[in-house]
Amino acid sequence: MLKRRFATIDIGQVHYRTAGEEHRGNGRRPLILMHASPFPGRALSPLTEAMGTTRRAIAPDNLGQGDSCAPQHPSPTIEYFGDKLVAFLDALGIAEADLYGTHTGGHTVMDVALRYPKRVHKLILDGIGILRPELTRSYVAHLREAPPFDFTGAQMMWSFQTARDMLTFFPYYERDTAHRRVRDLPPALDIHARALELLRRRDTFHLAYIAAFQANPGGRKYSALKVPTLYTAAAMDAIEGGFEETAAMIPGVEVYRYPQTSAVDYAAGAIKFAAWLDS
Amino acid sequence: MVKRRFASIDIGQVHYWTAGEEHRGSAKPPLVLLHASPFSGRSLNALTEPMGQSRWAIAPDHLGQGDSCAPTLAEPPVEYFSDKMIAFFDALGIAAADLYGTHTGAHVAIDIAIRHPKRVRRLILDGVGLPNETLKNEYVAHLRERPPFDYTGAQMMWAFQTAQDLYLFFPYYDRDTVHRRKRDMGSPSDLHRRALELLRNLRTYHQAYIAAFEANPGGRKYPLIPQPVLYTVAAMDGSAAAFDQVAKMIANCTARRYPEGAIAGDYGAAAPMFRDWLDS
Repeated sequence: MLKRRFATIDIGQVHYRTAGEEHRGNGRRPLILMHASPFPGRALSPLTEAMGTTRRAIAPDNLGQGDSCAPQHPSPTIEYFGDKLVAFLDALGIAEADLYGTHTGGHTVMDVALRYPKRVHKLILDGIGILRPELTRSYVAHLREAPPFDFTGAQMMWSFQTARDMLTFFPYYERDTAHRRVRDLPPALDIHARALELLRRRDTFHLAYIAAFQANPGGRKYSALKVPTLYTAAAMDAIEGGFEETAAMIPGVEVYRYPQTSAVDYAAGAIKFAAWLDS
Repeated sequence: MVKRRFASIDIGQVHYWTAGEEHRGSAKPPLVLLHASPFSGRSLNALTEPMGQSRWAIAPDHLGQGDSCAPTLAEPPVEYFSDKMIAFFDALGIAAADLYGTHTGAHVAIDIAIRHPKRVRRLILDGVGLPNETLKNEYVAHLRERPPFDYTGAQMMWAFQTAQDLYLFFPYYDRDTVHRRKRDMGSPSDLHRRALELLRNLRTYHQAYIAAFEANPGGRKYPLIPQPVLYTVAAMDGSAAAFDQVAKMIANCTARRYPEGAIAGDYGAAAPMFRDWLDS
């Protein structure tokens, strides 16, 4: 059973979901799970719950997304998010943790692993690759466009349509056959939840997203990783720059692929992650 | 600075907004503030914050609204909401509190005051009146209608238009001249926030709302309230018409309208009045 909580850091409150609190102090390090943009830690609830059966699992919302406070900076870099994640660890009294991050979350936990290696025992990177500079440029330019917002309620349809487009195309603003994603449209409730996340954080959701896009140009940070790293991606994730190519850049990497299903199989992933973290 | 927190009760987590935590354990009882439907404790931040300057102020979201867990019954009566509020008091270690309630929140507060009298010291009731039976039945029937919800995203426009109609008409579904409300339209931010509150609890927001409508038929609970009551209403509030009548029905009543010109939600003007009465 997941619980929701808040922790207080210097700039405000960080919201998180947690499972396995009863394992606190059981010898295993807590696992921090960082989510993808622009959807909050709830997207990781199945994984958080599964990991919580053996350890304390904690999934915070990125700053400016979900229920966490907004960054206090107009264009924060990935280091800003990394520093605030460490402030969050401090607030929870966590000296050393295992870190899991997917997409935006992957870039954030990698930054923490590179700049605060003593705080990180092991690292799991999910769904990140090597971004082409032209994709980064165009994606960031689209994220910087302010959504409509007025008496007509145009933002309501903007959010619903954008949520659908993010599920249908990559990048979401290239709405043609070449950019169709190979995945099923999820249940209507799922689209609804995504539209709501865009709506309620329409002023700030893009900040962590942009920071992640600009975090690791050409994948040049991978080779500097010294923390033991497991690298993985879901079948539906078309890894920019290639899965094998990315894996080859990470020193001493352990590689894992989720089962080839249309939705991410977190149950299978959790078994692998737990075994690897404990190995 | 209002903070957000969660407390655990038997059926899940209750989300609340709080200020003045440093006054916890002081001589003044905590003040629990209960909001109107279909919103959340956030709608009371402008009151929770100033009240927190002198006492521990706590504004929980009703079950099924805001970020609180949903009721576990399909059609919970007001007693369900007030019993769960007592469970919330227990979770926070609150033996007795002052209660402020507006609209739905006032009906929950009245029920707590009558059925759990030892847990309530004083009561502030805001914006409750004497809805007639026909209006009540009609309103409840409208609240029971399921909003659209599908792949077309029709619920998005439903929420935005309903947020507007709540400003423009009373009841919100009678969109004609006779039912025009005398108040300004909310700002785009107000409309946006209200639409979001409807959307995020699309399947549950109506439950506390309906329970409140059915809580006090004919106002028969008013004479049963044992505690001292400050009864108040803003000029533009729909329940203002029955103000004098309701004031007479409450046994131990101090009746004071909002200061001249103040509309519902204008807590800058109302907070000093509430504070003075609680401390008198």
